[in-house]
Amino acid sequence: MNEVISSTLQSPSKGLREVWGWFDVSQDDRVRVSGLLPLAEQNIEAILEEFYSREGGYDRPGGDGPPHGMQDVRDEQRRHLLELFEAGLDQKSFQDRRRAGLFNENYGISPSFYLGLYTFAINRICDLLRQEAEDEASALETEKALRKAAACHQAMTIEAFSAARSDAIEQRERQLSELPTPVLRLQAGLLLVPVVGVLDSHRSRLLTMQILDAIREQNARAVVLDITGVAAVDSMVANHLIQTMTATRLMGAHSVLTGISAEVAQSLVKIGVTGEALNPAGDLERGVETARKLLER
Amino acid sequence: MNAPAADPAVLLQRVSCDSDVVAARQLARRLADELEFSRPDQALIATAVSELARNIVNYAKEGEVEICTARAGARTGIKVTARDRGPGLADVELALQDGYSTGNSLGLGLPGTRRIVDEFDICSNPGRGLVVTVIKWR
Repeated sequence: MNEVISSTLQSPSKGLREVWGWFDVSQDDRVRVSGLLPLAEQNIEAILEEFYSREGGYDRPGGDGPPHGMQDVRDEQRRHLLELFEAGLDQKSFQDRRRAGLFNENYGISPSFYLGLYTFAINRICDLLRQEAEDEASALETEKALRKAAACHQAMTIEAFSAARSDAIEQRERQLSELPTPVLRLQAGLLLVPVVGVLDSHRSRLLTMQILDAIREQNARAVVLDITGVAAVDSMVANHLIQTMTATRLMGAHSVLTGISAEVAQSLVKIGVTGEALNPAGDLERGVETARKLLER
Repeated sequence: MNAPAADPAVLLQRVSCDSDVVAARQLARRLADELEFSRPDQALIATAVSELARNIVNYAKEGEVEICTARAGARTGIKVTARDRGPGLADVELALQDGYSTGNSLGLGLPGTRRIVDEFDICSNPGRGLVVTVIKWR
């Protein structure tokens, strides 16, 4: 199973205690739940078997997923359900839930399928509990404890599931931001760089490197940096641009910034970014013109 | 914090990475548009939110930005609260000076934001966090 490297779930033991608290799971409840472990261990296989062999068979959780993972899925589900009866508050139980959540995300098991199976299993265990109980009142208390703990267990797993999903989204965003910016050669010695999207620290470092490489390779003496396609320009983005342009200057090339909209210009002035460092030239046409003049010097 | 009764909607954006900064900025711009701020003012508001959210990411790692409508008499405005549990500011006056930065930045974030907005309130609790509240009237 994959190791979880980062997650939005916060500090393990404190977090767990707090969540148990939300679900009103007391120490007594936890003792009752962990007392059910032998019963659960004895019956879990039969319960899973019954669940999967019912009419309308759930043989392919997550729709068209590959059936070859079926045994993995059942093994994981058995393990996950039994972990409920550990009723733990420690680092391990925290990791267990993250593992289960990540498993669901990776295997494409939807929250409703997960909850369906889980509810089915808990109901079966409650049936068994009632059948075997000698003291009805105590059995009822145990059932209540089990349902509370199960709800909490499910909630935390789903949270881990959604954390795994947002990690995946973040990674995709990261990949997007690594899309290279084209450095175009307009004529000998003159480069055009149209920047599109969000200019964060990571991307702007990449951009600077690309531009500097291109300057060296193509022996360029002027660069037109066009930011028409940059969604947001604030002081950090301005700072990145200034640094990129300063580095360009140090490589012996002039740079010209184009594509600043009227609104962006006004905002930058209000923040206090001065125009000189950015060497702006209005629109792209003027920018190219300015750059050509710089070449002739 | 309570928004005025007439405008219960408070937009909340959790901020912990660059894309959250963009999201907060877009929220602010949308509300500014709904409140019929002029286009240049919308850009100013978006920039202010962007600076505040950026500070959270850069110095506190995570926090939140709250955006709501502000009303006072006949005036309508937009109110932005940026809150974090980061290191706070040891010297608020110093941090509000142009060009002061503990990071490698232009040092324009806070003073720049103050120039953009009409009301600027900063509450620093060194070691515990920072709350910056700003209002821009239409």
